[in-house]
Amino acid sequence: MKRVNSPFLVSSILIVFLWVLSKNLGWINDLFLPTPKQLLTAFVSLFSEHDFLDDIIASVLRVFSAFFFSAIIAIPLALLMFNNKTLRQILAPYIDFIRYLPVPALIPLTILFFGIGETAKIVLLFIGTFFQLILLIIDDLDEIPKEHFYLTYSLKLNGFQEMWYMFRKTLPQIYDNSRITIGWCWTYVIIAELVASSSGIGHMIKEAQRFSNTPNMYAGIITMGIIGFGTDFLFKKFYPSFFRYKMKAKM
Amino acid sequence: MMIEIQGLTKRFGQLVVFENFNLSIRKGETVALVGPSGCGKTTLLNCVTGLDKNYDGQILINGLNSKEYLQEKRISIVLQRYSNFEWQTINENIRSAFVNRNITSEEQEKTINNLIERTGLLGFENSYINELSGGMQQRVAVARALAQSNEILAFDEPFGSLDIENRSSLQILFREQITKKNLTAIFITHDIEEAILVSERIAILKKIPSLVTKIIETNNITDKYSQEFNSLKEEVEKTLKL
Ligand SMILES: Nc1ncnc2c1ncn2[C@@H]1O[C@H](COP(=O)(O)OP(=O)(O)OP(=O)(O)O)[C@@H](O)[C@H]1O
Ligand SMILES: [Mg+2]
Repeated sequence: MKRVNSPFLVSSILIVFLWVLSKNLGWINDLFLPTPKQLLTAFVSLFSEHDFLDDIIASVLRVFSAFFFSAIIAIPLALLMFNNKTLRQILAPYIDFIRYLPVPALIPLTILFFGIGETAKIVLLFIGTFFQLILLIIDDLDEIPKEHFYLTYSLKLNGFQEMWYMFRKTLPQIYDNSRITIGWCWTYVIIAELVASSSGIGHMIKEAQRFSNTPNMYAGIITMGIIGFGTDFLFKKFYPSFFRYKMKAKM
Repeated sequence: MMIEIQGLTKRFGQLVVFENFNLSIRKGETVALVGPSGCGKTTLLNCVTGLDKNYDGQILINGLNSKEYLQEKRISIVLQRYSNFEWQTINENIRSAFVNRNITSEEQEKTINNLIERTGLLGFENSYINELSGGMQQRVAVARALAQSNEILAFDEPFGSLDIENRSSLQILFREQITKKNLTAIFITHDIEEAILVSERIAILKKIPSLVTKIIETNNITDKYSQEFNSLKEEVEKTLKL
């Protein structure tokens, strides 16, 4: 049986009720909060007249391609750093330093280097996620219990296979950290699009701001929330199928 | 001599676990280590297997310095806290013993099937570690260690969490493999009967700094109900109490 989160259901109904009520009683100006109908109309017109779907696709692609590049470099590099003390000593301080830089501060530089095209945005998101991700993965590797190494020690693994075993050992944690990192990626993509972009959800919100189109701003924000929530949901939903071995057999 | 521990001194900070400790093990021989909890049995095993490299003295394996020996070869290890690869099935866990070993898949299959049957894991080949009881997980670790064709085994209370029946059948399996392949083994156990059954010699350790107080030959007795078995058992018990 699927359990329903009834407190959430009650509170969401209450929020919608308060929303409708406040609008009907004229408590809040339309400039600050649209009516449900305005919001719905905004969604319809955004999709039918303003190619909002293209904006969404643009943002999603940026997030996922930046994350993809981060992950395929961060995972092997983390494994190498974990297994090579010198490499770790060389790279760790730089990674720590860059990790503390607020991503928005780098926007002018990425524009200077790469203009306002896709590359600039992906590079920015890459910087924002790569350095976080690699540290999280090294942390995961540091957490591998010594029994694991005792175990691989008696096998005849070569260096590459040893790293593969470490990767497999930490894969569930890497998966979880990916979920978190993609969340940050969403924040950065919107920032990048708000500052300099001609497409994407952030760009749409900025355009809406220029014309004081409050319903569109809300529509953009809600869309972002839904996508973020949805990604998170999918990550969690697929966890059991990826990591069946983590699950106890069904009673 | 297959394993020669010469003048081993091992400290953990202030704690001296071994001081000038000596023990030799012949090829094809199993030495059981018994002694009170905390006397350094696991520590000794870790030094021999190279899991712990931080000791003074010398450990020779097959005439080589153990570090040299371990560059080429491996020692099969079953830990006190057994562990397996949780993302692999039972079958895959045992199969990992064959990585880079030049063994035909036919032969691998045969060995795996035989070990699965002998360790009583039949029907669980495709289960994951998480789906097994503690005792079953331990049996997987034993099966993997036996599947590795290493000439030395280091077992740390390998049958600790098993019921009498499984314990006894694994003891038999262990003896069988040791004799068939002429393996050398160190076998830690708290169970004196088990020590007698699996070993050629029993080394009795005393509290730290640990020394071998006595080495007792078991003469490979297999009959638990014989007079000889009983007097051996009494001798070990008596030495342990001293
Ligand atoms: N990593 C460690 N750091 C500090 N002290 C340790 C460490 N490992 C073991 N010791 C100490 O060394 C002594 C010997 O420990 P060891 O684990 O070898 O005992 P044991 O004979 O295997 O005991 P048991 O039968 O309970 O397994 C103990 O006093 C223990 O506290
Ligand atoms: Mg121990």
